[in-house]
Amino acid sequence: MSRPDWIVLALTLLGIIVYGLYKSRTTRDLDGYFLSNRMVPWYMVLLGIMGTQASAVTFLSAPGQAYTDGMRFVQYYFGLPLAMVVLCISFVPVFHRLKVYTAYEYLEQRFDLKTRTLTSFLFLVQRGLSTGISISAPSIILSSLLGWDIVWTNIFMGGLLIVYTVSGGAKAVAYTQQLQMIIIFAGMTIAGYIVVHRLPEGVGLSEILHIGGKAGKLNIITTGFKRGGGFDWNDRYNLLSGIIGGFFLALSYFGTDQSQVGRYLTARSVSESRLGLLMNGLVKVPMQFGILLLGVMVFAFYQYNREPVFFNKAQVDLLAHSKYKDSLGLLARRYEDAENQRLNALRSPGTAGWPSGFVDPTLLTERAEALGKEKEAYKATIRRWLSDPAVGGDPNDTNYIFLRFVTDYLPKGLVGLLIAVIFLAAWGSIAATLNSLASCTIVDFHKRFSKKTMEPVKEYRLSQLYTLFWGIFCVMGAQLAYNLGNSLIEAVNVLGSLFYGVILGIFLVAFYRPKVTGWPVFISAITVEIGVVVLNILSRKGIVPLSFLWFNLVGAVGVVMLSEVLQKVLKNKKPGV
Amino acid sequence: MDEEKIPVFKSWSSWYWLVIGFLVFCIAIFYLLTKHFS
Repeated sequence: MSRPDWIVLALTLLGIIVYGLYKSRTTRDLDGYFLSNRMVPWYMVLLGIMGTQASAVTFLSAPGQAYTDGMRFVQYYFGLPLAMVVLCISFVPVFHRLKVYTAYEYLEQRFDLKTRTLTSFLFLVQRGLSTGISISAPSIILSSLLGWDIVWTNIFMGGLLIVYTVSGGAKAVAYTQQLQMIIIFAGMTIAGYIVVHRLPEGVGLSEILHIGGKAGKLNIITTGFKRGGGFDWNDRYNLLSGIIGGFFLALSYFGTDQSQVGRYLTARSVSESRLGLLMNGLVKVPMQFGILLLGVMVFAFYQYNREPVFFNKAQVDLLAHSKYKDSLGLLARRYEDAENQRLNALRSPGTAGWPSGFVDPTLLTERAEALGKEKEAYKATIRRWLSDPAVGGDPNDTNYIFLRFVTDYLPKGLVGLLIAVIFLAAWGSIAATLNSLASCTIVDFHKRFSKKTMEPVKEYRLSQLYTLFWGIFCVMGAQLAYNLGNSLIEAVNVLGSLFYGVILGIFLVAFYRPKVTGWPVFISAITVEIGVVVLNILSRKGIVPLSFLWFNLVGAVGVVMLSEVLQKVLKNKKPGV
Repeated sequence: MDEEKIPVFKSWSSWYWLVIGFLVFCIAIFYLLTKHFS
């Protein structure tokens, strides 16, 4: 990175820390530390919810995903607006009326202590582990693309935000998320403008959609049905899995994950919470569409510019020091030759309706089409070499596509801003998580099981210590995740879908099955959790063809049904249970 | 609790239908985009 980039990056990050510290300087008690004294307006609730959900990987991966797989990933968010409506009807009024600090507190009032403790414990395990990955994943990308030391990148990605999160709690999180989201939107908009600006004159949005459509990148709506008929349950992103699976995932995430519940509990009223959630339901799908469209724009850009043979430079360097060293040199020369010829073939004849001197890339000549296929064959060869256990590389460069474009083509200063966007996206998400982990630890465990009553100032100090503890735990978890490699990252990513369904099931029983009592739901939760884990093992072995999105549905419905059955059985055996 | 003023509309149901309606509108637009550019 150039000096202006470093200055922009440093000033942005420092500005956020100072802003967070300044805005939260009056916080001195538990209500202020975890709930911002319940004074937050709806637009800050909205930005907080969005900032917590959108991690760094959202902004790194989504454009790359559209580039490689098309825009069908947007369907993953179709269930979210429906979930916002259900939350506003059932969850929000109850949480506000009971004035709870954590969502799990409500479960003790509705069922019993053991159900509350079990659910809070499941949240702490799942969130504590996955936050390490939230830090590690973008750190790995930045360190390999920019050559930064991974330990320092992890510390900056997950450590600096601890300063304002420990000091100011939820208030600092809310105010910084507000500023972070504004900077993130500005950065992504500027990046989109520059992609279009750097395209040949006359190639605009309509032509981008045309190029993307012909290349199969505008597969926004897919049915999930196979050509021969029958639904593909293994297909991750389609209309049905997006609406149903996405609905259960969003309901469990926004309704039962304290990192999200903690955001809308800070609202000054039920109306402000509802409005924040409903606005999220309105803007999330178009926002995700915009981020994915950026990926299609970058794809169109590389139709007119030389595309790297592999977007992750570090992996190419790895091959350059492997047994494939000589073959790589040969392949790189051939690839460059093919790219030059392809670009020349694009420039020569000109097509009606397209800028002079350029042919419509979707009406390629036979020669250019053959060169495009040759190029893809070279890319496949690189991926095959990286998959070789002797090399031990990562054959997937999807997460590097957007950032590689940024570092290669954005002007000085803006590269620093886009890197800052990645950091801020990570910080917004991690800060909210640390705050929620600390609130559950102190409210659901420390205060609940301690026999001593504490002064408000002491509670506040202790909450700060717990936030610091979870911050250090997550940064260490990030380093551990890096050392253990991709397999662990994948495993922990699945962890969320293993727990969310069951936790949602417990809450659905609490809200909608008033006759079910503590023991049936407790036994059901443990039984179904074991069942979901077994299902995941069978799915990974290919015995049960089921995508992870459906685990949320299985977990939630399983707990509701089993607890109903157990309620009847236990009631018959032991009256009063 | 729900006696608080509801912004813009007379009831929260209108808000819920707006959110659901907008989702349906987005899906329809996306479907047309998919069909048109495929």
